Amino acid sequence: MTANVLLTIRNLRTHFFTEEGVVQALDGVDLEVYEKEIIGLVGETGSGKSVTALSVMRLIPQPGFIVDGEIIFKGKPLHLLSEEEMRKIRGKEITMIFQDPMNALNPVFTVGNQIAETIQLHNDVTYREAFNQSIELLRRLNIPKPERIVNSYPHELSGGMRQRIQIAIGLACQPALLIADEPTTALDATVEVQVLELIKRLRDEFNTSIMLITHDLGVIAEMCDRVVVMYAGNVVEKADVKTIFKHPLHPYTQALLGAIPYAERKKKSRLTTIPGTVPNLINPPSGCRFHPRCKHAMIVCKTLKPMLLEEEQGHFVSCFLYSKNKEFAEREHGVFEPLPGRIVY
Amino acid sequence: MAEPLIQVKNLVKYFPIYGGVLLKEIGRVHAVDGVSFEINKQTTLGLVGESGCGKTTVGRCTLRLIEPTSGEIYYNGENILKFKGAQLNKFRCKAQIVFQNPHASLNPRMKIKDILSEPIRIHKLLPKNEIENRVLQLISEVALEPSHLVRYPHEFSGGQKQRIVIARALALNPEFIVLDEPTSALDVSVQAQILNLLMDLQRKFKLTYLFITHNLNICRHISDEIAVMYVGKIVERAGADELFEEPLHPYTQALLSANPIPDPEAKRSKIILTGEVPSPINPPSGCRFHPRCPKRMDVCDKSEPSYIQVKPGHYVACYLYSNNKS
Amino acid sequence: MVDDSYSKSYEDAENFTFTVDLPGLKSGIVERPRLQRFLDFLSRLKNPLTIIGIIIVAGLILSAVLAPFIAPYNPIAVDLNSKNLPPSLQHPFGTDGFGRDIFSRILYGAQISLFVGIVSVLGAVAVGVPLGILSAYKSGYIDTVIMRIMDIMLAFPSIILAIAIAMVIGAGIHAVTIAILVVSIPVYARIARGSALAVIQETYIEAARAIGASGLRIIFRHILPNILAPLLVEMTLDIGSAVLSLAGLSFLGLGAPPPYTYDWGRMISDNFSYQAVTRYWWQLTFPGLAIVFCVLGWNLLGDGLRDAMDPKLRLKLSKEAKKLIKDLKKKQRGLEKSNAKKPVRVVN
Repeated sequence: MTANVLLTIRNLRTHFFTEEGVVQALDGVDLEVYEKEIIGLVGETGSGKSVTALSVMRLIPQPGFIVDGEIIFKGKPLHLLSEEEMRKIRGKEITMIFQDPMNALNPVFTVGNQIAETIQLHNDVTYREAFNQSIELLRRLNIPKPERIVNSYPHELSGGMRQRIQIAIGLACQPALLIADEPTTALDATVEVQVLELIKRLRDEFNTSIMLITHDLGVIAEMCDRVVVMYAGNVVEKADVKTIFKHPLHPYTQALLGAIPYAERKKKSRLTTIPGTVPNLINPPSGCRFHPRCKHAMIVCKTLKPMLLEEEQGHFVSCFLYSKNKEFAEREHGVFEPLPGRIVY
Repeated sequence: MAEPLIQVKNLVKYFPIYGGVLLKEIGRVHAVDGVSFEINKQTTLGLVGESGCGKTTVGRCTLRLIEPTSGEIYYNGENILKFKGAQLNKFRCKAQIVFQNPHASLNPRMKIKDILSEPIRIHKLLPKNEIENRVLQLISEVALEPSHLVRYPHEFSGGQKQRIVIARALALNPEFIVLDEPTSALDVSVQAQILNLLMDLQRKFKLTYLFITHNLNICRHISDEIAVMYVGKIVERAGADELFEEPLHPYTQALLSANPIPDPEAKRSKIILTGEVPSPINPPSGCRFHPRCPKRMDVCDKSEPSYIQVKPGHYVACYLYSNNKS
Repeated sequence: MVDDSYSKSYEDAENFTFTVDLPGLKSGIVERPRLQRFLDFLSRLKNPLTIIGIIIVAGLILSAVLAPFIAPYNPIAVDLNSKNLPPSLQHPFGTDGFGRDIFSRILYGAQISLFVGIVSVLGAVAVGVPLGILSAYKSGYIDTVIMRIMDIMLAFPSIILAIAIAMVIGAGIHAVTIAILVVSIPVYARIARGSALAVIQETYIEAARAIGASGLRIIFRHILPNILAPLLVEMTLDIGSAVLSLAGLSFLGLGAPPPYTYDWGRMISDNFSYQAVTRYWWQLTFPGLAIVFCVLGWNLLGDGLRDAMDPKLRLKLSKEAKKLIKDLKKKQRGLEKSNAKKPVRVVN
């Protein structure tokens, strides 16, 4: 790993203070994004993958707050920046595209108008120049007939085209990091491929790092360099994509991979299931949050929270089944508390 | 064994579009445009297609939740479109549906107990004192707790709600169930639970499924036969494995290649189609796939290819495989 | 025959045993969530304005029910010795031109207001809601016909209608009630139709059709319970406006005939004279205030109900969260200063 780190997230905790109680949506997330890589965040509903992205953007919706941890982007602590400084980073350095492109685009302005507006916000150019730049941008993204597209309104475009426009708006200022939150979930298979190919080309042409959030392991396998598996607000496993699929360590990752039907699997065979459901994060399970559903659960899993430690070169896993955590648990006779704060590698 | 339970012949459904000052019919959505298939007893037919291809409409028409514009649907050799009154009621007991969105398929103001007993009460299948036992049996059939019966739907997770929907469908001892994307709103691990449950129930109660989905991996896993739909028409139908190993129609080939494989080392040769799925209001002339087809010929935009059997049990509608090139 | 098919298709299901004590289960679990939900709902009504509304409405109902017991005087007893007396300990709100105690008359007047308000609203709901749901459920030309009739009714002023009805069945509380009832039918038909159209889109309606439920069953079991919340809010608000309409109609002389002269609107109308405006202010002020408070009470209650039922307004910041925001801002400010001095240390 000689590449430079672009974004580091350390022990990030984001909680939502609702009337029913405090939802501990993120409970110590550690991850880093290197330059020019596509990193995949995968997990089920409520695993905290979208909240992680929104925390990085500092766009967490109302009763939610970052209560602890650090987000460092190009040496700047994003979690400490004022709203004004953050606005300069949003859209210019980090952008985010959402699952539903219709809601993300303003229906009363033309597409070209919206791209140009983003360009103007962060660059000192006239509207004409910005508008021409937006046509150029669409051309670079291989979008057919950019001159016609820029003059159309979002509702005149199809879902796939809207998603591409959203990506174009995201790219208008050539950000260093693009966060894509389920960008293809709402799209059809044949259109999904087109958008995924486009995202892949971004990395090669624009040198953008991409954080791809999805629940589709197929998309992860095809797109990403590295994968972060999340469960109930924790990172349970982190490794490069081949290791995750060929040699998963965490029981959750193993079960998740067993749960997807795909062509090579024997037909009508029973799929591996994970018993139970995703836990309620107002009152999460003690210790390792996966232990109530884990088939390898031990006593220690109930009382202690495993740390995310490097098991092999570049392969991090947070489970008491594996050497360093195991040794730690045994040495301390199950009384140690995971160190609060950052984990030193 | 190969006795068809459901036979659909030339099913057509147009939805009129009204517009203008006088609300005249100004156009039609060609949702389903001449679809024929049959489902053998105790097998599963997977119906795959992208959004707007009419697969959901086909599912609803086979249950007569929507009246088709024309065509014939036979259930055990009887045309269900001619059913009336008591006969239709009896058919409703035999054919059920499970919907895509479990959160919207349960009445939020009814307890699970009432939801499960409602179909039995409507059709007066059991005397009152036996309903309770039946409901208990149903809830254990889908692996939920009896204590769940007295709760309201909002207290359940998506997967549990879908189990309740399945239990309601089972309440009438159906023979045929339309599964309209039953897992697409669920998480991966829960989706596997539901798929396992559906396969178990099929074996146990000798059910016949019409499985509607856009997910090819799930479709292959659960189906015996797969039919691929594109803008209101079935373009190809074959056994599940045969379709995956030897797709004939260029659209099927593209769809299969677009299917993400959860294996980073798998070799991929993507066929990336240009353009988008055309609108069913104004479908392209000739073969509906011709504007996007990589293997387009001159004849494709002029007349429609017929839907023919090219191998035993393998049907395709494409000029590449038909001899009647005009 | 039914039992046959039942046992036949469940032969394999016999290995399932049920060891659940059903009566115990029923008594133990059924009621708690409902009570809990009701308590939750009550706790969401804890808005000061709503509480004022509840107090006013409760006071109205109490005074209507208890008027015969707590009213110091007979509301219609004429006492010419004590006419036009200003407010005093004996006559808290003073007396009118015939020496009748205004306080007692207002207490009794609450009976008329509540009767007309509640009966007209319930009647309008009973007619309007089924029409609205039917219109939404059937769609097509039935929908068009019903809704156009509702439009025509909506265009009809309640005063003219009240006069017309009074001509047929004679002036009085009944005529006024019917007039207000008829005028508010289209309001409910529209609300019911709008809500029902949204509910009909839900999959559970289609699911009900798939299990063979009849149209009536779908309307009453599946649609009606799910549109009650907006209706309840509208009903509460409408009782207030019905009281207002009643006051207006009574003022014009279309209201209650003698001996029910203690209707608030009629009191204003009867007492209305040059002298009352200049000298006997209490004769107009107190009945007027009674109307204002009554309408206000119902409206506050209605607004409170609406807020309590709207899930979007339920998100409120807890105290913990507010403290946290403060802390974070403090931390942010402090660290911004220290950041300005020294370069940021990058972890990793």
